[in-house]
Amino acid sequence: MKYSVIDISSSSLSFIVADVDGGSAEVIFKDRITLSLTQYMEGKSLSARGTEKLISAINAAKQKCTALGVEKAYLIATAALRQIDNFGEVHDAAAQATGMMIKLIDGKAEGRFDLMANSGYATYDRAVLIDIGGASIEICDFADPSEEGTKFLKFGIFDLNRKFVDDIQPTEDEAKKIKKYVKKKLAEAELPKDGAYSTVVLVGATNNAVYDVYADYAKTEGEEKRIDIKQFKKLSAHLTGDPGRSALVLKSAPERIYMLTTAAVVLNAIFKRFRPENVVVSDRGVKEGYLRFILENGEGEEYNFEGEPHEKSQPAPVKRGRKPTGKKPKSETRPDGAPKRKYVRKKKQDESVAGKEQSAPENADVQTEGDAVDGAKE
Amino acid sequence: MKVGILTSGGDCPGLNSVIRAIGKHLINNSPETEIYGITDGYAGLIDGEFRRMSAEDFSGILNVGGTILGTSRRPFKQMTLPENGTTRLEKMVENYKKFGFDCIFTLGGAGTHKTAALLFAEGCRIIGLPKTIDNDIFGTDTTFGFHSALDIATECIDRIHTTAASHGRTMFVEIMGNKVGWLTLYAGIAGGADIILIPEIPFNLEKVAEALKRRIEGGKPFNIVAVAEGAVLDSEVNFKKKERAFARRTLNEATVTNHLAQWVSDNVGVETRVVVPGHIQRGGNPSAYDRLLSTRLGSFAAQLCLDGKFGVTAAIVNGQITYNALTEVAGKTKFVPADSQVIRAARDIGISFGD
Repeated sequence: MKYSVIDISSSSLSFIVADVDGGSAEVIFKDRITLSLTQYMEGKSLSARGTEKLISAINAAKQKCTALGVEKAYLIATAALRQIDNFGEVHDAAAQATGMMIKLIDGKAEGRFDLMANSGYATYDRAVLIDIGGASIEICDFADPSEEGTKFLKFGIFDLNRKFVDDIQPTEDEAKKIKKYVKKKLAEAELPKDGAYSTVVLVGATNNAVYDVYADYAKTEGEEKRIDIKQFKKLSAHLTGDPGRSALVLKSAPERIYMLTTAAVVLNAIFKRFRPENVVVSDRGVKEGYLRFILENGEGEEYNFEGEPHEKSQPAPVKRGRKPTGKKPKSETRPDGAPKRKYVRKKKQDESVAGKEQSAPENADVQTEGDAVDGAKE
Repeated sequence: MKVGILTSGGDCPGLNSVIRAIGKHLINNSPETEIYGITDGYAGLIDGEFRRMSAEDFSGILNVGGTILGTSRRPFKQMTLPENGTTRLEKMVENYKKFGFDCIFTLGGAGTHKTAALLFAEGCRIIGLPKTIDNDIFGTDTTFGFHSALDIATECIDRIHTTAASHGRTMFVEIMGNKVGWLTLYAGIAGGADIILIPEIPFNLEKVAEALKRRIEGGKPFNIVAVAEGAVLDSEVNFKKKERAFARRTLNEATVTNHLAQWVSDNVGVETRVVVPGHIQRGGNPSAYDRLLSTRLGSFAAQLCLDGKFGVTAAIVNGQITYNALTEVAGKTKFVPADSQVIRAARDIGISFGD
């Protein structure tokens, strides 16, 4: 059976299509539709034009899913829609036009899903996961994927831009202020430093966009996405001061022109604190993690491609901020009748899992067998 | 408020109509606004060449082709190259700020939009308008200039029919469109072409020959083939642009149209001629449709400025004037989709695409 998870962010609508067989899923298709929601804001509300563009993007994704034989799809959104004042209206309009319900994911859930999707990196020595979002920055220690091991800085790129940036991109001075602010916040959060983490795993759309610009700047080659910190520092300096910086961003990530330089400055500050040996970029994140969560919990506001769309004809009740409950499910079985998995809090690295997990980051599979990460259920 | 208007890239009918609409809208709705024409496109912004415009400048130009502001081509790639210690981009931004502009309207095609996005990223307030006879700007159903060129290209094909029929010739009409086939496709259908060759559908010489022979065997002694400038032989589909140009040069051919005409002459045994309307397609006065579209787009863009909405480009979508973010449009090309209804209709009435 094919499932899809569609994610609305501030600069794109991205989706994955996965072949689901029992409890496991293999991602077979990924795509992205540019959608600069930031450009369609009127104050803190999404404009009518923005809502039209959103609906058009959702419908385009649906069309692709239909062509690929998807049977169930899930539509999620993070900070981009979480923060708008008129989410209710936007949600209703989108539900009316597309038949799909938008599920808002909060920062903590995002963190959990990111970890679930990247559990393979848990076998790396002293690895930490970082996702830079519009409204928060999450820093998750793979060695302690519980809530205690996950830090959320309660500001993101949007907040930094609002506070420090006058125009579209920060100037050199503005970048210095951002860096100072982030440095202070990292210290206040009592995050480890100076080699405490050996590997930084960057996830999320913004980090991936930063990587695309970095890859162009540093002329990197090869399949594995790695960042050299010294080169990254040069990129960050280029983005905050040099002519040609805008052309570089517009070439690789035009829809992220508002966020990219600020994100690079933030990452620089984080690298300076952690001083990791390795920085890798994963292209798996919330969508893959959410899919895994769905398969394991049987929850989620699904859209069925077979027959009538789910709840299409009714004005959809606004369901905001519905977090993954983390509660023990009422039923011990999934909707398809298979027993649900039980979770064990991971204390040590499991040697028998390590070999399998090592290969997980190499491809886009969402693998649930053998994983024992507590995240969704506590 | 101080606003500037510039027209950049290739000229086309409709530019003056847009300039007029912007000017009149601002004069009627915000009379204190100072409107400046920037001479010769981005060259004017680089060199600081502006002139104050008054109500008289916007009169009598609705139906005038070309652009009263002049235009030039300043490739996007060259905007950030170092030149005497600075770059063209830096000069433009400096002039924008020094002169105190509150907004610049950029009327242009894909390349102009890329530079517009660059200027916006550097803090300039920009509103774009989609100009091209190619109709290849992403995010808008139609660009101004397209319909005027379509009328011209269609008339060319119309007129070729009589001479083709009289002489029993196969006429190849080369239509503008280096990357996309909108103009060739629409003009081909509207003009009654028998074969239409567009860049999006690589063509095979044998298939073209088959289509021609079918018509001849069916009793039609002449053929009309509409060929886009950028039409691609299926044998050259993996060639880069330079490699294709090289292939043409080695055979002393100007374009693929010449290559095709020569091959048909040699292999199908019919008399062929090549007709290249060229820049006639850009010239002349805008059609009624383009005057209307340009007026709607220009007025809408002026209102966007008054509403403080920048970093966007005006568009027409499903008959309504709207806007798209510059960052969503810049660098993207709107190709003719393979499953286009228009292509389907053309095939269903027997037009061959050489594939």
